[in-house]
Amino acid sequence: MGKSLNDLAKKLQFCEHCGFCRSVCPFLEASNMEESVGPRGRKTLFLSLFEGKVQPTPRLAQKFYMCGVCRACAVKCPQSIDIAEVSVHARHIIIKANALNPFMRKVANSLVKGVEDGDIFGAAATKAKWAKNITIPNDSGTVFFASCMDTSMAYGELLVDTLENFGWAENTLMFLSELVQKLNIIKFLDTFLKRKNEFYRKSLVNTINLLNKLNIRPSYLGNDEPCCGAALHTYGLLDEFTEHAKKVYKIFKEKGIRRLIVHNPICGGIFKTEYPSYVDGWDVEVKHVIEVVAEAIENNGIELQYPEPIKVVFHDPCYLARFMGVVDEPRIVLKTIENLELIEPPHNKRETKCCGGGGVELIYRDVAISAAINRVSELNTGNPDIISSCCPVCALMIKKGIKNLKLKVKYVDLIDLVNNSLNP
Amino acid sequence: MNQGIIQTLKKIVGEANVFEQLEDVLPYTLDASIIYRGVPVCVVRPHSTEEVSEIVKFANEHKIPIIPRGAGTNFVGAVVPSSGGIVVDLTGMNRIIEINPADLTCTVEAGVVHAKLESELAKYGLYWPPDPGSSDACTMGGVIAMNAGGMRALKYGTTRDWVLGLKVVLPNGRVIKTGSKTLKGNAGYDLTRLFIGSEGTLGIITEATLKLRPIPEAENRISAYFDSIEKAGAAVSKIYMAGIVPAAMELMDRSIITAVSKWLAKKFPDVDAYLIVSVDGSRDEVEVLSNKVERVLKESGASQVLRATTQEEFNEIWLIRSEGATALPNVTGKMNVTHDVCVPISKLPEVFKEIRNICNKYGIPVAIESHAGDGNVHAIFSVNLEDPEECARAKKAHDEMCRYIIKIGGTISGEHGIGIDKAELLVEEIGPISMELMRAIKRVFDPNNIMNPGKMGV
Ligand SMILES: Cc1cc2nc3c(=O)[nH]c(=O)nc-3n(C[C@H](O)[C@H](O)[C@H](O)COP(=O)(O)OP(=O)(O)OC[C@H]3O[C@@H](n4cnc5c(N)ncnc54)[C@H](O)[C@@H]3O)c2cc1C
Ligand code: SF4
Ligand code: SF4
Repeated sequence: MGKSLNDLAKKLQFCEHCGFCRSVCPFLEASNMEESVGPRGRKTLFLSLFEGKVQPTPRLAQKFYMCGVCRACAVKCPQSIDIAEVSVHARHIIIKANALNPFMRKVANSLVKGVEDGDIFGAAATKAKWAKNITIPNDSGTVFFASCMDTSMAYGELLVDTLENFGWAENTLMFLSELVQKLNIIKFLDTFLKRKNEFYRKSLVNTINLLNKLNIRPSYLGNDEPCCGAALHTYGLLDEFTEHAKKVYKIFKEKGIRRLIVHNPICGGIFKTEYPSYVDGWDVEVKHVIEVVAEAIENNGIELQYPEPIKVVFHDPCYLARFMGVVDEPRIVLKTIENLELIEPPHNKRETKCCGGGGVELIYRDVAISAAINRVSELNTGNPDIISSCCPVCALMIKKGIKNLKLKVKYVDLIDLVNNSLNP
Repeated sequence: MNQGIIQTLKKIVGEANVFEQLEDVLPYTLDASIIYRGVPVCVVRPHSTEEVSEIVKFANEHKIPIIPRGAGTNFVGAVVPSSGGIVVDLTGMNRIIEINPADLTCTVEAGVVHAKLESELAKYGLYWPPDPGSSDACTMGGVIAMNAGGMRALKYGTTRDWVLGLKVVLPNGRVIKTGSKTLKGNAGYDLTRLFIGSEGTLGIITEATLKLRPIPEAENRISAYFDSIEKAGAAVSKIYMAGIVPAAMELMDRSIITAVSKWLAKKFPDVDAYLIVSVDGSRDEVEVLSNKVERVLKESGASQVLRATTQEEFNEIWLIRSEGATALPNVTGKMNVTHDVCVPISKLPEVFKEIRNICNKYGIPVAIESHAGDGNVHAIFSVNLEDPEECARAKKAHDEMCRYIIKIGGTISGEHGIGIDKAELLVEEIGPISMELMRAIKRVFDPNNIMNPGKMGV
């Protein structure tokens, strides 16, 4: 299962303590460079934990959960040491030692239940709602994987908003969130969240529309679509993740699925980089929509024109750029859109900087918001009209950054931009 | 006692800026020397000179050791809390206070990261010439306290040549300003330069005013392979003798070339040494200098000389230099332990030979990387740090190397400093009288010996 702790510790012995990783960690920056919550500090703490020099405690947990598992450090490190991996394994050790604080334990329980039910926000009942007005075939070996984060991010946003305002009552909030599920009032909540839902779900509708325009007709599993389990993995619930990943693979196999197209790069990233080491024989091809679109545009040369002249800055989601390794395709596509001027932000492509999400937004809100503000300030340096990206968590955090900075720039999903540029 | 210290410190800097639990302080127990460790009583993160002053005053009253800390990238154990005490982490004081393009100066807080300053200055077409390889991480306070050098030192000098004035909290908590904001200054003893390179033993630097330069219009690189490292060393002197002052001359030996070749699965000529000469100035100057360097290198017996004509070639030439430190441990399976000595440049050829001999004798694989233009040699030992016997052998080789360097008129540190690592060797280089003078200076500043005790042999 995954990498062995011995191998990981051995790799860390190569750390030169150069501190280069310090220069790119968004959460270290948001913590005003305090070593113990930065990548190099996590390295030292992990080795101490591994050697038994420090015990798993809630205080220790804080050091590893204040990591957005964004892998910026791995790209920067001369020894390619990936502190995201270190954090995930440290979390696993801490969870196994039962050393999380009550709130974080509740989050863990709710993730396990959510993933099992098919939706990490507990909204499995409404997850296929976005597709009810569109016809999607269900007999293709290629499947559009809609992702519960995309279909239900409105609940995520509600949760983060509430925690942001009533963080002091985090245990009560978790209790209320459990209650919502127990009372089965998700459907009611779904209507209440109409506007938020539309914001996230329209990108899914647009994805299907765009793919169809390009003569690509993937099927969709609807309510049968499992959660990829990314949240289990990043939270350090590795035992649960291992079990879950096997189950997911089994579902895919039973349904004859050979290829997945994802919109949410978090699912894509986990399928592409983690599944192969957790699931024997993993052989499902995984592509991001934008790769498929870029390929189709290159082959068929379709014309794209945005309705009015706009300046767009593209924010590479960590999972798209560093996990899935997709950096050229969004640019290939955006550059073919007439009327659209593409600008590059500081920290782009593989060197992109995390939006402040990565799970930190649920637990250390202030630090996460600070990181979001830092990233949005960078994204805004060229005065764009639109900040575009293609990850639900980036969307949420970038919106938070924009709001905090009181900017007039708008967030628009990459696929929405492309779809809005199709000739009617 | 410890609880009392922590309560007082919390009053000074606020609850959130004092860290005392093991989970918090473990990351502050080491630096890039890796081998030295020490656990502090606590770590405190001040955000103003006033806070630093209060902390130091309190520590002095109670005779508690203080360890000023930047990014902890020094190689000599200089920030290891070897006697416990309070680590004063300055990385939170990271404001660039002002940049004055018209005066060619800037003023920064101690925690500003070198690379961050570089990128801010570049917006004005300016730069601060010292360029330590740790730029992405190291702080200006650390750079100043270590008198850091870099690749451009042969032409532009080291930190000592580029600092105009400092704000310092003395070991009794009082705050002084040294130097001035002027490009020249000659008022009394040069306290600024005394603090530069003092490794946190005389006081805590909280602000610095730096001298700047416009970024040169152009830069180029010329590389050369040599079948013996001695020949490459000799070429360095020949370049100066031809009337050229390059911006950098970097030399890598066979071990590094082979390691990079293996690591990147890329073929390089089978030679003993690789020299990169970089020249800067106006476009015309760079053109003329590049021609001259190319000629001298060919005349010095280089087997292959390449002068960059495109950006790709410019980058490509640097590859062996930039990947060396990464490649070595991956190829040898052991850690890099980087040692730093400096010799008169005419002695480089024999020094390369002797360092190899010494390491051979002790069975320690060595790779040589040198800022050859100023005689600065980094001997990178490959050591299994888990093996005490091997570490002991490496230490013997290191000490013998240093003694040899002293004997031929070199110094045991070109730029990395003394710290704990070379504290005992220092007296062998400077002699007992100079050593006593240094200790006397230390006593004047710090009679209670609270400032970074156990470092630099003072
Ligand atoms: C990859 C790598 C490359 C390097 N390349 C070079 C190079 O090219 N040239 C070179 O010279 N060095 C180099 N170094 C060594 C090191 O980076 C430098 O010495 C650097 O200046 C240390 O800065 P720091 O902020 O990390 O200081 P630290 O390591 O934190 O501290 C160094 C010393 O300064 C003292 N100190 C720190 N801040 C203050 C302050 N505000 N007031 C008083 N004392 C203070 C500390 O007590 C300690 O004695 C390199 C190191 C690495 C890891
Ligand atoms: S960049 Fe890599 S080698 Fe350097 S301190 Fe970070 S983890 Fe260690
Ligand atoms: S993965 Fe990202 S957040 Fe975590 S330590 Fe590395 S840079 Fe920081």
